[in-house]
Amino acid sequence: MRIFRMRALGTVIIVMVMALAACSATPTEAPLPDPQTLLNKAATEVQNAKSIKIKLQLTGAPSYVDPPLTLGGPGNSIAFISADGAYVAPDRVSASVVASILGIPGKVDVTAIGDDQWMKNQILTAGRWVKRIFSPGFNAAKLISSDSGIQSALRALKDLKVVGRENIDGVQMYHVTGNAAGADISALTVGLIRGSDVIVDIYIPIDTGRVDRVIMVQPETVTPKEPKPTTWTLELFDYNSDEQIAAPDLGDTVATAQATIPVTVDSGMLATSEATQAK
Amino acid sequence: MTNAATPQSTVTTHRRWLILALVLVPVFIGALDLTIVSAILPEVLTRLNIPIDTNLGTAAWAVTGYLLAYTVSMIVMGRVSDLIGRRSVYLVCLAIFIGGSWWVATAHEFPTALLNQIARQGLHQRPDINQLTLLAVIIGRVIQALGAGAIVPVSMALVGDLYPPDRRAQPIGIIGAVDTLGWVLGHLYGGVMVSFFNQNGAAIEQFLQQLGLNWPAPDWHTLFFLNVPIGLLALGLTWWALRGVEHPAGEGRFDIIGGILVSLTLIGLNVAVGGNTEITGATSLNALDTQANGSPFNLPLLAGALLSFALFLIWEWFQKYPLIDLHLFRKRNVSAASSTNLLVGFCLMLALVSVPLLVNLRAENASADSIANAAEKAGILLSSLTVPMMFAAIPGGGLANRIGYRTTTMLGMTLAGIGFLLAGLTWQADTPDLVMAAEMILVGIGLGLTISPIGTAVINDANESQRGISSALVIILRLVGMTIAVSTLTTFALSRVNYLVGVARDTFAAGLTPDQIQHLSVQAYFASGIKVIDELLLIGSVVCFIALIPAMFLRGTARIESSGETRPHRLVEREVISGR
Repeated sequence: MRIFRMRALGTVIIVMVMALAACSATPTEAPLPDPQTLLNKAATEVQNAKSIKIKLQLTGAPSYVDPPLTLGGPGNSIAFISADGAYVAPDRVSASVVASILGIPGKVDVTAIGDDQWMKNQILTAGRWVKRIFSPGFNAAKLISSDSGIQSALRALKDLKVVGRENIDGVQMYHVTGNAAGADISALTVGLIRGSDVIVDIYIPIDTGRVDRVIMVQPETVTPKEPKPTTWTLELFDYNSDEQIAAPDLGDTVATAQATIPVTVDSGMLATSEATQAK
Repeated sequence: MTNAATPQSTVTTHRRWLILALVLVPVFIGALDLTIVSAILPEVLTRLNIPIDTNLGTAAWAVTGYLLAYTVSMIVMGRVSDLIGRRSVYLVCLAIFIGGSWWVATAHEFPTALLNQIARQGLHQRPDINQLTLLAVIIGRVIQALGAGAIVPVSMALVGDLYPPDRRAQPIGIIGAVDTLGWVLGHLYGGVMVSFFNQNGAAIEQFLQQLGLNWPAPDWHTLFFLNVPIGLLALGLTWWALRGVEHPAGEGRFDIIGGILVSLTLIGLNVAVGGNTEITGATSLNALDTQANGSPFNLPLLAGALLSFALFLIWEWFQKYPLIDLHLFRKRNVSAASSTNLLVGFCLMLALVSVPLLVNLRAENASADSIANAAEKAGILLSSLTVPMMFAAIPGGGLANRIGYRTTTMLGMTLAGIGFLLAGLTWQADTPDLVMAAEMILVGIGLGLTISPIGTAVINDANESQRGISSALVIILRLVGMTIAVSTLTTFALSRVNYLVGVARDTFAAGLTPDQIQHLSVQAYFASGIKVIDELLLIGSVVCFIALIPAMFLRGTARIESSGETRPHRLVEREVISGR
């Protein structure tokens, strides 16, 4: 009787273990897609988007907008920090850009429609919109929908590999890795990225096939002073939302002169005012 | 309420002094951190890559949050220690302070990553990393203050347990003096150290590498990180020193509802009146208009705060074991001194913010080095306010004995009022530092003269069993005055800068070029900033003179009769030297 019970118990245990094993067995995953196919589709999505929200953040070693040595200036005085904005097809961009000028972070609101640009800053424009060139040569149409923009950058990546599927912030995404020369993918950072070797990680939601996140790391920027490499994180989201970008209302004092920001602020905003005050 | 016989009879004199020496370390560090941010906030924002012109509203909570949490903790934890024991409350609060310090020191690492995860996964937001780091700093500051605010009252209560009544004055006076020294030196320490790190950070890093320590160059984080090993050492030693020191459970229960109501009142009041912009950072003036429209919740919040305060008063009045015994205010000197001290706290904070404001505004240029140097200069200039204030407390006690509480307090407030008036009339872009320092010395001496008469008047007017809570009440009301000052002055500065810049902007001629608009805009902000600082100082003068009204109701001198025995004023003076 006792032996019978033991055998029965053993049978039950074996059945339970088998049942558990069956339940927990990893389902056969679909094979990973071809990375180039993924990126081509993602690039097409960007090109066809009516609007996209864009967030670009830089961490680690700073990346300077101006070259190290500038004639008549200190050089390496303007460092990009972040940009948060939106693109509306075909040629409109609006963003809040944060940059460090001589070590002091400041925010400038920028709107670009075609070749026209407007900017607003609390100190520099007393908080009102002024029509002036913030970034010479910038055009939103070139950034997004032309062959030289983001889609071109996505297609310029080399050594592409789909690492796998990952859960990022609750969303299943393909993780694609690759590398590129800075110049080839500069459109991903509005032309700010430089250098030769950039390691790129791209995250594409499985359900949409659209680029959600691009992380660009520049290992060569590591120095004893800056132990963390320059890392750019580009996020593209809210594709085809009802975003509207209109030319800012300039009020009574419309200005149209063409100038660039660095020329006018790198001498120190408050020092300028103090000198003026002293006079 | 507490049975002090046991520890007093079992703890030797030598050990009592050892315990006192050990509890002084956290008292000093906690007080240091109360004012450390006032000089270094622009530097902190710069290093965090936070635009100063648009984010000081949020950054203000690094100061306001600390003050609020410090005040609430001070009100609540003294009573908690009565009920569950000094040792456990002291050690837990010290641990909280250490944890908060570590959190602030590493805000850009784990805390930011944690907040990023919460924002992305929990709230489905795509936050700015630098903004998250700033939020992490603010959270860390609040945690720090919840611990630090409790350390002073619990330390004083601990002394009450360890020493017999006739020998408490000296150790309590020492705690008060060390506490005062901490907040007096906080901004100087912060400013000087930040400037030192800025100039010598690379050399220090190189030196550490030679020692085999691969640590980053020291910066503002280091100021908070230093609290961790020192605090841990103090925690271990205090845990060891307090072993076996019994504290029998006190009578009654903790007034939870009172604690919630007073917290809601203070938080609601500060949020409602706009305590969301830091005005100690001079470059903030160009950003103040971001707050101009205010929050649509301001009025409901203010109403809520007032309702909460009314409920608190009603609740406390009828409690057998209240958080704050409101019946104390029936005593004339308690009411008069508390009201005066509320205004003293307001004026003190006003002076503490005006100096860095002007120093940063007229910094050499808008560079990171210049901001760091401005922090040092602001710290040094602020010492011309706080150091004389500390020293003036001593003759203030003597004067209170000779000419009475009322005259001494009124003399002090008059001097401070004159100092503020002179500063408001003379501070310009090119005012020499010496002139600014001289006027701040006058303000410091004036405010310092009031410390002893105000504190002594309250203590001597209270029964012996009420002296602890009475003296705590004086400190708390000064802290409340300081907190309200940050909030209300912010609102005032915001509206005034906006108004003045708006007026200037309306005068811009039509058809200006961008360069001309830029030039005029910068000029308008600078001129408006200077004008608003002057107006703040004049408000300080007016408030000092308003403080003369409650001060007029003070009665008596520091020499008192108690149980037929005369208590020399110096003993009482030591008990109240902790005036903040």
